[in-house]
Amino acid sequence: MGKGGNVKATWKSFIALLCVLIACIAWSPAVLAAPAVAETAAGPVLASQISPLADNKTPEQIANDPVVKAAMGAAWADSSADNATTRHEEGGWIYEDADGNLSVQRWPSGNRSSIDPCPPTPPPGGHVVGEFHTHPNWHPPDGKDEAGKEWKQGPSDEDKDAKTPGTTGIVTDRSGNVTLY
Amino acid sequence: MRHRIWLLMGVTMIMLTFPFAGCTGGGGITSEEAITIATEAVENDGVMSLDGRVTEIEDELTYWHVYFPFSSPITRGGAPHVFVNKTSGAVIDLYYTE
Repeated sequence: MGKGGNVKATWKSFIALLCVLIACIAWSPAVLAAPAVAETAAGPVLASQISPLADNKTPEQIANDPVVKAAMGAAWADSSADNATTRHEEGGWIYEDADGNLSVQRWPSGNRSSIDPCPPTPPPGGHVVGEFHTHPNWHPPDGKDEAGKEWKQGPSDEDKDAKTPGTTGIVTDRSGNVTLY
Repeated sequence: MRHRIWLLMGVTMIMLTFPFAGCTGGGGITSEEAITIATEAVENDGVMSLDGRVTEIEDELTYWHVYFPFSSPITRGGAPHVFVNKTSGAVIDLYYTE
């Protein structure tokens, strides 16, 4: 490559850098001004409504909270896990209020192996810190149900993908396992 | 001379790519056939409906992994997973997540 080629290459690099610089300047105010959002059950929710465990509650503390444990127990009972015909998933949102107290809002009953959350309505000053649901199909020890159908214990990839980022997911199953994700 | 080299490289790339365009994975069962086999297997098993689901397929060494996650991103739930032998087309595993 001759001297002319070098000059041309230098100009190309300069123009490319200039374009990147202009793009950065043009985008930064828009990005900074846009409120951070995350996808939840009812669509986007402001990040301020989601707790990044700011109150130092660990997933284990959330799962062992008496209010949450009681709600998960009730959800399991409502799942009719022992009835092969009517077993279904139950679940709910876990909220933390301004004083650090946890509360639960149950979701509408789901189907045999899925459930759709209701839109979250945290208490005033509160936010979503987690969610839980039941897995009534997996049978110990090998996961096969009465009909010999094979189930994996989960949580499924879909469970993980649907969960609100920064919150705790909890799944309960018939072996008594409480799985956090 | 240089354009001939580029032409040769292009033809070589096309020849290398073309046999895999049908996604046979080197075996007898194409990805399309595997999806058909998996769909029939799930429908015949009668555990999960395929309504509201999308079809995903992964190319493994000796089998196709076909699964049907929900199309709704908010739904918590599982999917049927079917493993189809690439050579014989036999369903070698069918399980469900929840």
